[in-house]
Amino acid sequence: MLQRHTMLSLTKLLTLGLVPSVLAVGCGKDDPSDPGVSCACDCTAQDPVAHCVRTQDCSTTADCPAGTVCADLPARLAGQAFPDAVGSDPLASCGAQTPARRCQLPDGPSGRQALITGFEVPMFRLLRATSSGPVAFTWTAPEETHIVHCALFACPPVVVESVHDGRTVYQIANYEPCVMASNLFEPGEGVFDLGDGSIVFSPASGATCGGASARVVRELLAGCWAYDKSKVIAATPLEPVTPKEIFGYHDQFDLGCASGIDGRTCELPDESLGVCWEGVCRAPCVTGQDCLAYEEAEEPDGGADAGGEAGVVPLACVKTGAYVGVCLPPSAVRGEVLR
Amino acid sequence: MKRFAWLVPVLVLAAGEANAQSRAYALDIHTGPGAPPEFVCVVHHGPALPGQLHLDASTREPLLLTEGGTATLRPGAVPSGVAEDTVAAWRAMQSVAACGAEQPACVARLQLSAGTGASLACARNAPWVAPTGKVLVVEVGNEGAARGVEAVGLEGAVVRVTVGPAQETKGARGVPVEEGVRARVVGGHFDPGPSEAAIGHRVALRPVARCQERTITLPRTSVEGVEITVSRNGQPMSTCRRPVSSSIAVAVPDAPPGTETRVRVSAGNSEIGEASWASSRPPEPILVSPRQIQFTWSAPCEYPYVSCPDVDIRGARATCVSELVPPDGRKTDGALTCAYRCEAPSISLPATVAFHAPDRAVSWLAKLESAGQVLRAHLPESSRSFPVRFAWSERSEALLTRPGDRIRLVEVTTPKGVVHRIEPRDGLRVTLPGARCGDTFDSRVIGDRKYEVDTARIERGWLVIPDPKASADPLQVGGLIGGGFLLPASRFGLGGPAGLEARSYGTAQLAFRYQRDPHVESSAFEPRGYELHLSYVIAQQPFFPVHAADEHVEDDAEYLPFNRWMLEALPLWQLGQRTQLGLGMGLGLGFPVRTDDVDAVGPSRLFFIPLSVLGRVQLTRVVSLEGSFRVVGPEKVYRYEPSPFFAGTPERTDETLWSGMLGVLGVRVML
Repeated sequence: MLQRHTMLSLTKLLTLGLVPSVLAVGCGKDDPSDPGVSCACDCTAQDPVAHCVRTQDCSTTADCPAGTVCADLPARLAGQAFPDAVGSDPLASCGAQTPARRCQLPDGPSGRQALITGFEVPMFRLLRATSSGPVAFTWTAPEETHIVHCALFACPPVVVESVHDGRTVYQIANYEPCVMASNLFEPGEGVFDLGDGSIVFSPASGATCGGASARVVRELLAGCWAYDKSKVIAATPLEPVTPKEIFGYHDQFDLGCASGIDGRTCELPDESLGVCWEGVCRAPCVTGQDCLAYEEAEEPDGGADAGGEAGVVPLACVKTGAYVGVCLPPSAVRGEVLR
Repeated sequence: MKRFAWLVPVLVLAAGEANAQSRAYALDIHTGPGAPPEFVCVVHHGPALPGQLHLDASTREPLLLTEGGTATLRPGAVPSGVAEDTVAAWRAMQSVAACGAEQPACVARLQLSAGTGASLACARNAPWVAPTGKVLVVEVGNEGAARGVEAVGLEGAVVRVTVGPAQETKGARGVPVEEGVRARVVGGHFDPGPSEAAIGHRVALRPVARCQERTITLPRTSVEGVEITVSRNGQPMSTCRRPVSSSIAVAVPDAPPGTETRVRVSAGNSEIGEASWASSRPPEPILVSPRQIQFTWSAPCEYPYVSCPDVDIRGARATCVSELVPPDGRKTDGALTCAYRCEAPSISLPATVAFHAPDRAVSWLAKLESAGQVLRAHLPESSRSFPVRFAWSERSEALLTRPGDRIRLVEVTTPKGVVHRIEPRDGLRVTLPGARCGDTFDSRVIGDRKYEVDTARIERGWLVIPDPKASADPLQVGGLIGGGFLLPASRFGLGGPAGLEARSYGTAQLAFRYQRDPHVESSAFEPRGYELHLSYVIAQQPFFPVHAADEHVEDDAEYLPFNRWMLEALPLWQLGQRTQLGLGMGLGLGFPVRTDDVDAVGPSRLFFIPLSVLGRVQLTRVVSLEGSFRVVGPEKVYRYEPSPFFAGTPERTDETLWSGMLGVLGVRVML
């Protein structure tokens, strides 16, 4: 895969702040009345919602920054802190140094049963209501359904189980960081219309620890779960949707990076989702390994006019203070040393 | 002579060759009802043949002459040489074996023709004729031609006489002797009768007995000898003593029709009986009926009274008096004996004696067959009834009217399963067919309380119901089915979550009751008993369901089926005849009916019942209606609210709820 890019200084990158920024420990608020926000943790990501992360010894994907998933570390990288990444990554050392699992870019599509298995409930199915244009879903919920809640996830939802006062409680741990749109239905019938901009999900006010940043979106998933009068009783498989099928919530999507605004979600040539970077859709990365699949022709020093012959160079994972960087040619960061 | 004038035409035997040879004649004796005579004697005036008894012409020895030519027999030896039958007949005429036979009217007599000698030849009746001791004397012959009798025979009612040839052809007056013979009854035990001429060789005679000999049939008696007196028109005619036997012969002279003749039989000062008639002759046999009779009645154990039953003799209009033997009543073995003496114009035995209990409650019959008989009859087993005696203490009797402990009746069950329901009051009788002293029956007191089966017993003729004290059962087990309403305290402004409604509930209860001994005195303030209730209540438990944030409805409670088990202890007070009040407390355990509802209304939880009040109306001992009120709590009512962003399980908070459990109607059954 070849990517073209224009070379920019890292200083510019930092100045523009167009890549996901990372806040250090204790950077944000810690409001107990707003459980969706917690900055009182060793490492906090803000992408754009602030949430605790443990990139190096994650338990679930909820422990990971947006765009990554918690997965087993390849054996060859065990005990290493992504030496092949370029630039600064304050989250690179969050957690134990000998982890079995790390937050990584997903190898492929995430599981579709996350809600069903997470809530430990029966399944009911979503039905696409339209074949073209914005997608909408309908469903037939169980008979005792009282409320149906549907959401559009920008990252795989993670349902965690806990016990409070003797009662088993299930919560989507990464709900606020992941959800872009949601809709409640009481009674539990209706149409989850992802072309409807009014259902955009807005995180709780002050859910950042200093400033919102763009999120890295690797996949879009729609899912619903049903309540009776007191608990979740059923859930749907997660249905993948594409940015083309939905409303542009939070101005998150710029499929061709035509707006020139860095950080928006774009569509890579392989139809996977990337990050706009200086008008070019770049692949996100966590390690240099993530960029091995990408290469691009690089003009000789002095440009094409200098009469040099262009060569194919591998891309490097360049991090600009975030856990997720972008794959860039080495020249883009020439002369800059990331520390 | 004039008296014998009849012989002139009468005692003639047919002539001709008859005068020269013997001839046989048959005398047909028509005595009417009764047996023919045992002996017949033929008197003739011809020469006495050997074996015949010759009567002296002047003295008629051995006869004793009396006036009018009538002779009565004089006791004395019979000359030797007389035929045996003649001697027997002669002695039979002298016999006075029958009672009263010595009366002149009954003594054998002869009325022979005067002035001539006579000979007597007798014969005994055939063996097949029952001996009667009666002798019929017939004179045979005709005047002027004395013809001796050569042979006499008697077979039943036919006398066969062989007359010898005539001794002369003319009569005493020179009249030619008649042919044939004549015959007439001249005495013995019969009245003399007219002369009858032979017709051919047969003569018909109709002897009439002067005195009738009858058999007296006495009522059965225990005496050995009796005195028999025959009187006529109140005047004694004869009296004799005889040992008691099945038949006593008595001679009774004939009397003009309409004359009352009476035979009275007595033994010492006690009269055994008598018989009377107004016909000329006595009946056969003469049935003597007692006028006074004594007997005793030995009461069986089943006879409950201490005095003798009254008696009357059916059809006798008897007046009876009784006397206890011994006079002070029952003997040491409990037996009671009554002696009776009854008098009546006539008492025919066997007689039916009706016994009547002193209170006339029951009667029974006995057959009296003889005087002095000991009767033992009592009520037939099939209809035997017994007065009831409640062997109860004063305290037990007080329970008859005590509310809550009242005794209504006693059920006595026979071995055959027949149940007698006896109210506890005096004067009751119970029919217990076949029952005897010592028999026992299941008895159970029926009342406000439960009683165990006890044993009623027949003692000295009483059905004795045992004191209920020992059989009062202090424990009862039962249950209740009912329902009512669960009233949240918040409905009455007493705190707790608002928005709750009264909801109905149903309950089933297992109950144990302990009742104090009713025989132990207690004050009205002391509980009469205690109950332990284990109740199951099916009700509905409220919770506040989750709602979508923009459609949240406050205090919109919903209800789910909810189990409650409650254990309560209550003392009970008797308020009235049929009403009780219970006050108690307890604790309970509640949990949802469906496990799926645990999340909504919570898991099992304990609660308290600090106050439990019940009011009860007893319909029967077993069944009662009940209303109740309980305070139950604290119980948690859950409220569900959205988790942040509805990102999972709704959040749950709880509030404390106290409720009133109003039992509107319960039907209780306590066994």
